[in-house]
Amino acid sequence: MTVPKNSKKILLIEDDQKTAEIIKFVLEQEGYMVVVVASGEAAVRMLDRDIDLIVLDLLMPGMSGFEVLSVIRKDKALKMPIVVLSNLGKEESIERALELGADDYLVKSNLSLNVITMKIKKILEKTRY
Amino acid sequence: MTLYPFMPFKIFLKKATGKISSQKKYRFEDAIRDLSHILVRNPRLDTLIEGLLGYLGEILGTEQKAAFLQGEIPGKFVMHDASRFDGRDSILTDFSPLIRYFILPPPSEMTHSKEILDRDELARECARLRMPPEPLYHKEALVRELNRLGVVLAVPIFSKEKLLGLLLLGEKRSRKPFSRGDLRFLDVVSHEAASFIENALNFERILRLDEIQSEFITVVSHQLRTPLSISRWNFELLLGGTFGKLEPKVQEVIRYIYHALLTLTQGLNNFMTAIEIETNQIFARLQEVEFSPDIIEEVVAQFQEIIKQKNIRIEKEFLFSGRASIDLSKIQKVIEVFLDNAIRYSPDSSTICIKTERREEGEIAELMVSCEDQGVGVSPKNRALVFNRFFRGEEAKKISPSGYGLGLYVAKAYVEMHGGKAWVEEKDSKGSIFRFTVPLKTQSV
Repeated sequence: MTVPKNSKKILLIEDDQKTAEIIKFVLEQEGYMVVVVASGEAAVRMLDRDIDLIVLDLLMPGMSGFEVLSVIRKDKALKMPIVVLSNLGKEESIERALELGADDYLVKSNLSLNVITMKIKKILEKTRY
Repeated sequence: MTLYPFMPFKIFLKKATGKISSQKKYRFEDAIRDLSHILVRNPRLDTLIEGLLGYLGEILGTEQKAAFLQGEIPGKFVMHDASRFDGRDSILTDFSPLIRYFILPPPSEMTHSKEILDRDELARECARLRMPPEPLYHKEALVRELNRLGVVLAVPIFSKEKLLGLLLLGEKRSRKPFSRGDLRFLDVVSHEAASFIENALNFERILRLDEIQSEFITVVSHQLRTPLSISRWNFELLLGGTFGKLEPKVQEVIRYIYHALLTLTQGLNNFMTAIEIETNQIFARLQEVEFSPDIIEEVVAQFQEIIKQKNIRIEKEFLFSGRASIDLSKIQKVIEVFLDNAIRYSPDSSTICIKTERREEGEIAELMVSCEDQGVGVSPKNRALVFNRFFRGEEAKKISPSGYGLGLYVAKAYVEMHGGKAWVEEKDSKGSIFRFTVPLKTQSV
């Protein structure tokens, strides 16, 4: 898949390799440039780069997605949209992630691939930060 | 072994006991009344024991005190107190002579003692008998144990025949022995406190079970959802032709597995949500959003595969435009449940119509969403029941025996969180119309 040079850049933070492969694949099909990191620690090191949107898993070994959210919004005060893509479906997780500054919360098993890409596309289209 | 002084007392207890302390004597009736206040006002175990021991310390002039209560593991009595024994004695087991004294009847007697154990009285008894014969041997061990622990009185707390625990008291500050009046008071304490301590122990167990259950739900749902989502997405890629064209028979099998997987996933997700609804852990986060056709389109896209397979025509009539104060993901879930049912129970090549419109209910402006199908319909007697948890109509069971009966229950709960209504309507022709309304501007209920 050739990615257009001016395409939007998405940072996918996902520790499950198979999930990362699939999401990267479908987003690249939409013409986005996708960089995958498998841990929160690695993600934090990437934050200074030019990123248009972050897709974030929550349950990861080491630094959790909640901690990553906190670093992005509180410590670094970055404003790029963050879409949580997790299989944690409990209301308290959703509430916590949204309070920490996530723009959307998607439960993986609830959504088909085309809906996930639709939602990400919609957020990217309406976000100018 | 010493028992450390009790921590500073609560303001309430200072008020309750101030009069007594200053007089250095207490009136029996006043002490019982104050004790009742402490027992009634502290449903949690830690504050109950802290209050109880603190009060006993104030009233009897004892600094050294502790409580050992039956823990989660039978036969283990765990220390509950703000003061601390050293680590070695934070647990007393039923091998301890002190615990054995209360749970095992002495060899010569039929029942075990429920009386307060007085170390000095026991020591005098041992001395009086000088060389104790075999049956009394355990009493000497007991005196040694009490000395080691620095305990003068052990007050047993029994519920019926079961030992819940012991309140242990050291020497009085005055070094005077405990009087008959003290022992009488403690005897009342042991009886009065028993049911409160038992309730508090049960309450702690329930809270612990609740924590375990909640943790279990989180872990299980996450662990189950992960392979389900990966499988689902892989099947979507397969059916979408990403890995090449499939043989018709292979495609048919994959499609069957894909839909079975979706049913399983929906069932799991609805089940988890139903638990959250039942335990009041779920609520609507209302945000003002532009209710655009995209919102419905995203839901329809979820069913792209089965709509194509069943050759179902989806008609959309978007008569509503404007902003609505809703929890978007929950409203999309409601529409998803309606549409899922409509597709599931409709024949191939039929039409489903999704309509949004504005409705005025008195002075309240509402968003109304309808989903009309040409499917099996809902019999009049089942119309009021279809939103009940686990309910499945005979018509539905015939067509799709594997449903869980939770989708509409979740949908109705979500609508009601918005202060809205969900219902199913009679239809002239074949099929059914499911509708819901939500106020355009409302507070979470």
